[in-house]
Amino acid sequence: MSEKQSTDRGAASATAGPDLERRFVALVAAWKRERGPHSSSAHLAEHPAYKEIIGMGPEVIPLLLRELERKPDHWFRALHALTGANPVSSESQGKVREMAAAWVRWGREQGYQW
Amino acid sequence: MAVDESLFPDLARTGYRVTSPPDPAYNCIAHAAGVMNNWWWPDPAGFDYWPPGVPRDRTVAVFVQAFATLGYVLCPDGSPEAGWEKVAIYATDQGPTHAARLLTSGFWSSKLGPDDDIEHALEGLCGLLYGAVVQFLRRPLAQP
Repeated sequence: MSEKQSTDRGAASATAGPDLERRFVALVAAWKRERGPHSSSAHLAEHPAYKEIIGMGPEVIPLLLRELERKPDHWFRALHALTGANPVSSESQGKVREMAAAWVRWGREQGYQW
Repeated sequence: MAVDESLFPDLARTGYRVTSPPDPAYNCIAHAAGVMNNWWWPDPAGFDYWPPGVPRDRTVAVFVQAFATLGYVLCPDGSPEAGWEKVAIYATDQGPTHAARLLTSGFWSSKLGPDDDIEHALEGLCGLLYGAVVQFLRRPLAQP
């Protein structure tokens, strides 16, 4: 887990900008629509929309945290790729709702706002 | 989300019905194991749950080991047997892809990745995506 950062990482919609947010929302929808019935979460993360979200860079972190809080899903690889952190305990491995809660808690501790 | 029948060419022909809506909290392996709040996969990076002590390799032998932690043993077929519950493991030449759980009706229950749960014939999910059934497992039904 990375060191706790002191303050404000910015609010999702305030800092991301409407264009970034629109693009993010469209990519999330595409991923959910097209990811397919695969049982490997690594396979789900290979979808181009998922990779494109990672490629949007750190600006997308608050949007991912907001999405995770709103609708827990397999965003953990993206968040790990973007932050280097892994706030999920071994007891919560695979438990998507617990993993989402751990990441949301981590995001608030790091000063992200969404 | 509707089931994409184009991915499973025999599904409509052999009959199926959706039994619950999409839920990314669990997958087919967890569903077959009777777990509805966990995503089971031998992910080497550790993002998914896998039973402790079982290798995180995508092989049929490793999936058999994973189900053995729940009391499952190998069995020769997927026909209903009084007093037993059964699981079928599907695989392609890349390794296991899917698992399904036998219902008392003789149909099977599956979770399609993060998508719907369905009831279906065993052969309904065979094809390019999930491959073929390569192993059956069974364990005694829990006494009420």
